[in-house]
Amino acid sequence: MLSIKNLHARVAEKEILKGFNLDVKPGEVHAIMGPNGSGKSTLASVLAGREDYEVTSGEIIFEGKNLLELAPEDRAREGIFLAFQYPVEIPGVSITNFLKTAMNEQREYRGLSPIEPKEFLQMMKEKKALVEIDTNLTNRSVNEGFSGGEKKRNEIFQMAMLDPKLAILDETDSGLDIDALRIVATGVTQLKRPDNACIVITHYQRLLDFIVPDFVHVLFEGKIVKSGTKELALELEEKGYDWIRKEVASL
Amino acid sequence: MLETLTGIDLKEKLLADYSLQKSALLLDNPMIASFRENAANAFRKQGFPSKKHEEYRYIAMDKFLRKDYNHPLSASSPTIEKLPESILVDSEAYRLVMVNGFFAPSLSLVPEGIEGFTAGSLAEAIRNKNVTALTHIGTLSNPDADPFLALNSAMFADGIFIHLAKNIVVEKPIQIIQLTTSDEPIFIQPRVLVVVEDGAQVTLIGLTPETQEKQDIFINTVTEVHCGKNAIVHLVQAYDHKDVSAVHHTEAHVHTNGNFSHYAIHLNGRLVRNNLNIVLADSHCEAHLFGYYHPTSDQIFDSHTLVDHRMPHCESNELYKGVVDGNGTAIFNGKVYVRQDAQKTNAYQSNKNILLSEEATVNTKPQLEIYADDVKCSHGSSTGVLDPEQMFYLRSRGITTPKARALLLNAYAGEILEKLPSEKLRNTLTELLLEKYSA
Ligand SMILES: Nc1ncnc2c1ncn2[C@@H]1O[C@H](COP(=O)(O)OP(=O)(O)O)[C@@H](O)[C@H]1O
Ligand SMILES: [Mg+2]
Repeated sequence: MLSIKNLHARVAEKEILKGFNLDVKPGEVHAIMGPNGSGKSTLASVLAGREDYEVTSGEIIFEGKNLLELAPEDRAREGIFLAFQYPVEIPGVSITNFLKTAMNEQREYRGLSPIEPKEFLQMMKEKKALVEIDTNLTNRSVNEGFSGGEKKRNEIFQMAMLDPKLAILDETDSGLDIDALRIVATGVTQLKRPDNACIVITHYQRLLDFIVPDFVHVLFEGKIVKSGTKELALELEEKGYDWIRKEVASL
Repeated sequence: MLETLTGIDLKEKLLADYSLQKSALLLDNPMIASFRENAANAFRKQGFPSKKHEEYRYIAMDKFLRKDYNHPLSASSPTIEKLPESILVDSEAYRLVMVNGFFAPSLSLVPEGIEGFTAGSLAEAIRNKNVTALTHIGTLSNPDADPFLALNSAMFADGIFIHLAKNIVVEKPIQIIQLTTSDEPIFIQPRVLVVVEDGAQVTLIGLTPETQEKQDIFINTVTEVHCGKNAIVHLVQAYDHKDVSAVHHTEAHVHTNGNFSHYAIHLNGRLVRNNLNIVLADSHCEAHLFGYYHPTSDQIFDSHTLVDHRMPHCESNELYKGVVDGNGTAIFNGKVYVRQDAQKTNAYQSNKNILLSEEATVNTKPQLEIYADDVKCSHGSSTGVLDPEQMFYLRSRGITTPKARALLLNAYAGEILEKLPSEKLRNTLTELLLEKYSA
């Protein structure tokens, strides 16, 4: 589904990703862990197509297409979804209008007619229940005045509505209390299917108790220095990132 | 030289009309005659303003003045037979339609036989010696203050007169529709006189919509509003005609406990200059000023507003927002005076601009002059671009750039449009704007 080879990327003249490799197949959940500043959000931004991030070499192939040639909106329409670490507030644009526009733009790309209002409302209702988000929230402007937890929940709600092939969750767990964490994780787990995949970026292993990954990768200074299964996350939790730092230094 | 050169030719031509067209200008009425004479002299002295004129320094007025403008001083038989449904905010509400500045009874819907409520042709009111019209016309405006005001005062031939006697409340909005039709370039000068007596309430929705003919049209309008004690007046002035150059001078005086709201919406026009002067003449008055402008290509939309706080315990609240695209120019000059007697004044002013192109220009100048010491006042202005973070967020959900822009601009304009006193108008303008965003 996704193949990233020898990816180098920089922002503001500074090289952040330095030879990043990753393969994701349908049905898989990959966790990417790493200390602050190791380049996790940079990876997410490059995948979503944020323009201030420059890819200097390497390739990203998604479903047979060269992702780097696609505009951010086309990546989304091809099935990529990024749950932002810091979702932006958009005063004056209601969640409903925003999601209807997004959904219809995606449908148009796929040659489908706009969604029937009734079907849309039904879907809103279902997905709201899934992430336990209440109607008061979806009647408001996108993220405006939302608490940190509400913003994260709104990201998962959008993911549920847009039904992506590949979801990238960038620290969706940070700032959530245990209940919110459980809700978000349940949402993600329920949306899991054999034909979609998920990259879970996280700082702590906490979320991985709920979303069980098939693979865990450790990102350090712009590349993956260690990969393993879910036990690796536990090991990291126990030994901390210093352990990785030392291991890398000894190489 | 404060006058423009092309303007001198047009000035001479117009002043020649002034001497010849005595009956069209209602000069047989001695009151009108002396008011006109004074104004004509003021215009003769000032001429059309060049860029050296302090108040018109950002407008190359020459571009909009043509010496071959025809200056109709009588109503032509209207070639428009039916109003487009789309511009009506309420098909049952009163509407006052002008064609080339002349009241058009066949297109209008006016109150008849309602005690204390008059609305119709201004020229007719003057001809019929309507006392309210004659005692109020020109009393708020000083022709020496502005050349366009002087010219209109000297030469308006018709327009609209609205009078609400004490405590008359008109529930539905009254539309004032300015239509133009001509096969040659024309210069027209409607006058609008609104007298709202104590305790009366009215909502007026002025609109200059697009018409079929593609001719240069210059509209020099003066609107005077008397807002009595405890009266409530809403006044919308919307321009949406690509071939129109407009200067619209509005003078409003608000009396004790009166509440005046003004909405300037500039969507299309070669030039739209909004001169808005509001005087809070007694205590406990309120004024609300909202503006939204969206110049594209070579359009110039300019608002010069003045709120004059003369007495204590008044409040004024001004928010003008705009989006400037293409080679468009937006000008905002907002003066607020708080005079020595105007203690306990609350005055707020804000101007916000979004630039959509490298060639777009904004000139913004808030001016606060405070001579009282116990007041709460603030003002601010900002000019920026669409937030790239918001754009990226929308695009990352599959929304294309033009749609994402439209969503953000619609939200931005919404803050003004939601204030409009008619939902139908709000929807119509929102749709017109969406067209403009995706152009
Ligand atoms: N827009 C930017 N401008 C400058 N530096 C940036 C920018 N974005 C990220 N960085 C830098 O890149 C490095 C990696 O950041 P990031 O990818 O956000 O790390 P993580 O998400 O793993 O904490 C950090 O040193 C950060 O300061
Ligand atoms: Mg991060």
